[in-house]
Amino acid sequence: MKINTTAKIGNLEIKNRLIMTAMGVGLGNHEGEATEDFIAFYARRAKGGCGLIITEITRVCEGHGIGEYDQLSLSTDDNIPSFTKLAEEIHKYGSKIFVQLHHPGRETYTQLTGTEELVSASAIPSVAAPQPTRSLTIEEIHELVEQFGDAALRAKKANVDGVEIHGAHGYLIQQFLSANDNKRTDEYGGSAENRRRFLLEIIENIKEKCGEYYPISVRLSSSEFLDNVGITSGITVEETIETAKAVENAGVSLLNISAGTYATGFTIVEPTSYEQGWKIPFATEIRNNVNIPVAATGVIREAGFANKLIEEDKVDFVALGRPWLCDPDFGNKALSGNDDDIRKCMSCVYCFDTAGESLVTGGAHAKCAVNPEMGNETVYTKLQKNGNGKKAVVVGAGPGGLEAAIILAERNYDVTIFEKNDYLGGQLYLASLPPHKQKMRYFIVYAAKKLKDYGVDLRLNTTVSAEEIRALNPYVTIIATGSEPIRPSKIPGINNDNVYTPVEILKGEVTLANQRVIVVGSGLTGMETAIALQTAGNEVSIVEMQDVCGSGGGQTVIMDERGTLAKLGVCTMPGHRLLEIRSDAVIVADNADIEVEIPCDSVVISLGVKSVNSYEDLLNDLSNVFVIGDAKCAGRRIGDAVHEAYKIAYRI
Amino acid sequence: MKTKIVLNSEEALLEPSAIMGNEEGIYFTFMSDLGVIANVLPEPLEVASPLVSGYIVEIKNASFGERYMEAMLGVYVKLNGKVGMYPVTFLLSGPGAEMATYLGREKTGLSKKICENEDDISIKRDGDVLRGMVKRKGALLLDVSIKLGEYNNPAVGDIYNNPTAGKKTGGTSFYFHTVLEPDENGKAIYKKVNLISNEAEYAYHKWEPGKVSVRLYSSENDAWGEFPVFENMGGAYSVNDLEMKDLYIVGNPDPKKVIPKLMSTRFDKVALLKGER
Repeated sequence: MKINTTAKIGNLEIKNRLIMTAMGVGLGNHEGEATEDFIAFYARRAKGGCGLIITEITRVCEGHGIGEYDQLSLSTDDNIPSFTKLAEEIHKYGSKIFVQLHHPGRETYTQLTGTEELVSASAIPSVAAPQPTRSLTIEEIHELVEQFGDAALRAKKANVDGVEIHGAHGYLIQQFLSANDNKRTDEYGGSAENRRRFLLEIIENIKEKCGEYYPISVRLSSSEFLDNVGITSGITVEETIETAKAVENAGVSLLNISAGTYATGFTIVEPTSYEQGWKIPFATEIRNNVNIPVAATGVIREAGFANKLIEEDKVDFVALGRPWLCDPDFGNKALSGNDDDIRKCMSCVYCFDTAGESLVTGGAHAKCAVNPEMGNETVYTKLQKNGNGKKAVVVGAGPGGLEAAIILAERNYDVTIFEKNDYLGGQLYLASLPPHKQKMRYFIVYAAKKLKDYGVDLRLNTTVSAEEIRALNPYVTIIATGSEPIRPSKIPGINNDNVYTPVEILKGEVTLANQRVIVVGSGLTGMETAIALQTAGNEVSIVEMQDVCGSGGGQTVIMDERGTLAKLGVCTMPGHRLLEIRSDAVIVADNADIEVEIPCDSVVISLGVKSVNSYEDLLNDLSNVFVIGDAKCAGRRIGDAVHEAYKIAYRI
Repeated sequence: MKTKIVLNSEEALLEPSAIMGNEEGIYFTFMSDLGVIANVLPEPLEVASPLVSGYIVEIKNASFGERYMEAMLGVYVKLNGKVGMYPVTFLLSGPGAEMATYLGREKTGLSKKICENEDDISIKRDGDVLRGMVKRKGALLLDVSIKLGEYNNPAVGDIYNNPTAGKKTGGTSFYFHTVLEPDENGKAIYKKVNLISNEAEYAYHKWEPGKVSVRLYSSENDAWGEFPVFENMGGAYSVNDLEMKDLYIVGNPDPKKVIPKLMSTRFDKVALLKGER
C-alpha cells in the first residue's frame, strides 16, 4: 500500500501518508488545556495508525481570538504542560502531532469573545452569523503576528512536532486573503500581494522564534467557491497557486489544501451529496506549482481511494477529518487493506452539528452518529466480552437495532435480529434513496458485514410475535422498531386519493409529473422529496408549519438542500400549517391564523414520524427489555438511535 | 390656481428635500438564498447577507407630493467595505405614486413601477394582526401578515438596529441612476450608469415587533417570487419619518453589465425587446 510509506515534512519523517485534520470536538475546558479527554481522543487515533495528527483550532490570543468555548489555547505559557503530555502520548505510537494555530476573525460570537465587536480585515460582518465587526488596526495586526509566533514557540516548547497556520475556511487569515472580505486600502489590502502580507508575516515571525527548521504547515482553501452563490470576488484556485508559491518561498514545509469559506460552508464540511475526492483536483493543480509536500482533504472515505491518490501522485498526504471520528482505527485498517472493516463516514454532519450545539456554551462535545465511542474514550474504556452465549433478541434492523446487534455480538451474546422489511437500515436506507445520497448506506454495508462476521442470526422479511420472542428466552431484548410516517387523521382530506407519503415517492411506488404538488413538511425528507418531484417536472411548493424551512437536519446539509431548492425554483412557505386538503387545493393558516388557499393537484405529507412499538407492553414479563431509537421517541437522528443502542449494549 | 407651462428658473427646481413623513405600515425580513440574491445584484455591489427585507407602507406626508402606498423588496450588500441596502424593486399606488415614481427613477435611480389601482397595495388591520397585499395587473405578488408581539427570530432586532419610539436610526443605500440617450443610429440606449450612495435617517414614532408570514409570487411582469423564503425572521408595524439625505455618485459601472439586472424592475415585458433585433 502506497499510503503505508514514509514521507517527510521538512526534516520531519511521518510514518505513513495519513493525516488527521483539525476538527473542533469540544473536549477541552475554558482555559484551553489539553485535557485528559482531549489526550485520550487524539491518542486513540494515533494508536489507530494516524501518521500525523493536527489538533483542533488553538487560539493564539484571548478576547477576539476565542473561537469556541472549549477550544485549545496557547495564548499563554500556562498550557505548555498539558500540551507536553499530549505530544508525549501521541509519540508513544510513533505518530507526530502539529498544533493548528487559529484566529476566528469575524466568524465567532461576542458572547465568546466578551468584546463589543468582532474583528476582521474590514468592517464586514459574517454572512453566516452577522455580529458587529470592525477592522483591525495596523498595531493590532502587528500584535497578532507576534501572538502567532509566541503560540508556535509554546508548541515547540511542549515538544509538539510542528504547527499549522489556519489560513482556510473563512477565518481571519482568509478574511485577509480574500478580496471579497478584505477591502483595506493600506499595505494589508488591495493587491493579492498585500492581502497575503499578514500570513507571510506570521510565517516569518514563527520562523524567527522557532528556528528555520521547525515544520510549519499552512492550511489554505483552494477556492472559496463563492461563485456557487453568485459572488465573483472570492479566492480562486489560480490565486491560491500564487499564495502557495509565496508561502513556499517563506519557508513553509507543508500545504494542507481544503476549500470554502463560511458562506459556502457546505464545501468545508460537505454533506453526503458531495462525491468522494471532489476537492483533490484543485489540490493537485496547486501541487503542480510548488516543490513542497501537499496534503489534501475532500470527502475521502475509502482506503482504496486514499491509496490511489498517493499511487497516482495526486497528493503527498491524504488528509482525513471525519473518517477518524467514525473509526479511530481507520489507519491500521486502511494500511492493512481491510477497507471493508472500516466504519465509514456517511457525511451526515451529526459531528458538526453536535459540536455546534456547545460551541458557545461549552459543556458538551462533538459526537459521531455511528461511533458512540468518539469523544468518550475515557468513558467507554473496555468492552466486556462476557455475553457467554446468552440469548439476545433485537427487533428492527434500523441503525439502532444494527448497532445493538453488533455490540451484543461482539460481547459474545447469541444475537437474533428480526426485520419486517427485506432490507437493512430502516429509515437510513430510505434516506439513501434520493440522488447523490448513496453514502448514507455506508453504515448499512458495514453493519451487514459485521453481522456476518459475528454470525448473527439475521431474519429479514420477518414480523416476529411477542410469543416467538418469549420462546427464545432472551436475556436481553432490544426493541428498535423505529417509526412510521405521521398522517394526521384530523386533517380533512388526508385520505384523499391525491395524498401520498415521501416513501411512496422516493421508492418510486408513485410517479408524479407535470403536476402542481404541495409537500407538507420541510424536514430533510420533505426537502429531498420536493427536490425529486421538482426535478421530475412538477411545480412544487413546500408548506412548513415552523418558521424555518429545513430544521432538524445537519446545518451544512440544510444549506446544501436549500441551495438546490433555490436553484430549482421550489416555492417555500414556512410559518404555514395545513388545515385541509381538497382535490384541487390545500388550505393553510399562517402565523396570524390567516387562511390561504394554495391550488395543487397532489399533496405529499412529510410531517415526520411517530413511534412504532407494539412489543413493550407484551413483553413486560421479561427482564432486560429496552426500547431504543425512534421506537422510544420518534423524529430523532441516526446518531441518537445508535448512541442509545451502544450505551445499552455496552452496559447490560 | 391655474399653472403655466413655462416656469421661471427658480420654479423649475425640484424640491430638494425627500422626506417621507408619517410613513406607516408593515416591515418584514426573511432569510432567502445567497445565490439568488447575488444573481440580482448589479456590479459592483456584492452580497452581504442572505436576508431580504421589505415593507408595505402608506406615505402620508411626502415632501414631494400627495400620499401614496409603496411596497419594496431589498437586499443587504457591500461596496468597498461598506454594508448597505440595495432596494431591488418598488411598487407604488395612490395619488402620489406618479410623482414618487418619476422622482424616484429620474432623480435617485430607484427601480419603481406603478400599480394601476390604489387598492392594489393594501394594508388591513384587525386587532393585533395586520395583513399587507401587493397586486399588479391582477397578479398577487406579495401577501404578508404580521401578528404583533415578538419577532419570529429575535436576531432580526439587530438587523433593524433595534428601533423604538423616539429613536433615530440611519443606514446607507445604493441605487443605479441610468442615462438613456440616442445612439448614432437614433436608437435609445443606456450610455451611462451612476452608482448612487445615499444616507437615510428613520425617526420612529412607533415600532411594534411581530411575527411575520411572508408569501411571494411572480407574474409575467414582476418577479417578486424569485426570492425563496427559507425563514420568517420577523418584522414590525411602524410609523416613522424617513429622510433621504444627499445623493453621491460613487461609481460608473458598465451599463452593459448593470442594465440587464434593472430592466424587469423598471419596465414591463411589453416594453422590452420582442423577437430579433
